[in-house]
Amino acid sequence: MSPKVWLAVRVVLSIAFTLHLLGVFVAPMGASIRAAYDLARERLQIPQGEAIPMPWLNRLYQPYLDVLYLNHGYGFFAPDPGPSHLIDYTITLKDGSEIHGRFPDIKEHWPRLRYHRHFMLAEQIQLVDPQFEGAVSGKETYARHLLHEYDAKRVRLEGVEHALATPEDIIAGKKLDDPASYRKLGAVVVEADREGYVEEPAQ
Amino acid sequence: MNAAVASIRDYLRDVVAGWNRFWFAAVDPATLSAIRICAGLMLFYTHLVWSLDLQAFFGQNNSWLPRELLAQQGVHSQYVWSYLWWIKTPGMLRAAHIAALVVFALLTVGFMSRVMSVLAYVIAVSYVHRVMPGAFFGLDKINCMLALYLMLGPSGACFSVDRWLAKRRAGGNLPPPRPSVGANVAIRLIQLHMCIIYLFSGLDKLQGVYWWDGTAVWWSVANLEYQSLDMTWLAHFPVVVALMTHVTVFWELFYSVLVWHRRWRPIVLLGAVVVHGGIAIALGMITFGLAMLIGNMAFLSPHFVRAVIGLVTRTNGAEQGRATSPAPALRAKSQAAR
Repeated sequence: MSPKVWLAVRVVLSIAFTLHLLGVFVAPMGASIRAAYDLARERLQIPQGEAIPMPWLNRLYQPYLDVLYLNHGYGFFAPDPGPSHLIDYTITLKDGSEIHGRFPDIKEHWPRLRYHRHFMLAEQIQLVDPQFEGAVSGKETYARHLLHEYDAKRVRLEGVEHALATPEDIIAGKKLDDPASYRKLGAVVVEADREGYVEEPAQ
Repeated sequence: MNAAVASIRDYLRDVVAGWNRFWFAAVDPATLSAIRICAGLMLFYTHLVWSLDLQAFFGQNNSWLPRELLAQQGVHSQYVWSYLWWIKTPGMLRAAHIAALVVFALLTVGFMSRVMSVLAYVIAVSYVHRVMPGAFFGLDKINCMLALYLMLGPSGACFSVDRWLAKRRAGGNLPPPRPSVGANVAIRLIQLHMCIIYLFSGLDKLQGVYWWDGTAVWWSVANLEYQSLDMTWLAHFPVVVALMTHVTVFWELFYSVLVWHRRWRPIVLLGAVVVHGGIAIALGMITFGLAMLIGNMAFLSPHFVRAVIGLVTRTNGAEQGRATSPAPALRAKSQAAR
């Protein structure tokens, strides 16, 4: 390659690397900005449920980042480690018998990566369950999946939040799986011969 | 005035020369090849585990995350793509999945490495886009990032079937792989991407309370659903918890600066082994912890990688396709590039 051509190649590649890395930087930056606004909703008087707009540079980069799967933050236990979310289910089979279960389930979901995928299903239910009119419900979808898997008559699916124990709790002899640390979050019920779902609010 | 202009000109010339050394020096592809093996194995294992729930997650009908759920406004943008959406029947899905596993296996052993790295990236992104949001997590981000950059360099130049076949075709007398600008570019992009990941991982923690008050490590180990090793004995040692919490945040925040300093680099990388090893052992995310460590491998010198591979395979490294034996020239270049 002649020096002139190599110079031109280097210039083009340098611009490409810079633009690419700017995109890689912009993605978590945008996520952090939105998270900061979300955390300060009350102080900034942003109503709960109102979407935080995407910064303009993120909007510009969105096609590139989405296509390459680079459009994400890297929080990893940030801003704070919080409680886990689980899903309890009751499946009523056609003969009337019932199956009770919870996912994720360390005994059922082996190996650990498989367990983690099911854990994410329970954790990310809020992400797949957008609250707007006409939206497909994530909870209903999960319930319909179980209905199909077991060829069942009815499925009741209930969200559960598992609160974290404090160091003082543990020193006092409390266990991490203390029944009092599980809080019911509300349920949905789907039936094989009916469309839609019935929602049961948390008690 | 002339002196000032000359000094600015010298500075700019130095910057350009440094930029050229950083990006366009040719380096021994040993590090990139080692990353190919590890990332290939991780991609293979990640997708092998999907085999257990293939229809449940990727099936066209009655899956956990059907298309109408993910395609609705506010969940996916129009630019999120996956070839898995076009696969309609369980039989086709199984066939496509087996093909995907074959691609990851071939990438790992380094057969038609460049082609396999492109296919591996397309497959990995398709799988994660199909289950996002709903069942993705950090492992998928790192897997796809590594697959993306493996496409850019000659990741099959060393420790590969490609190399072995080329040697056979040459009657066993194959010259060592040439130092490569592509290998350098791929390694540089992984390095810088890792720096951005750690920087934002640290910055995002500063938005919380528990990473400031020193209790975040407690709240992580007290999470039963993550727990794979009971660390609740830490309740008796709040100072240790606070130390672990603060060291984690500072390590993440300053990784992107200190890892470029030759003296600090081994310490920073040892920090990665401790942090990610801890996450793997205590918080049950073995795959994620290992994937992050594979990303950190980009900071290992080719010389070190060859020494380790030589130890593991009990060879002196020459049989593994050592790049340009007259090492001084290469070493000078690769050190300059580091």
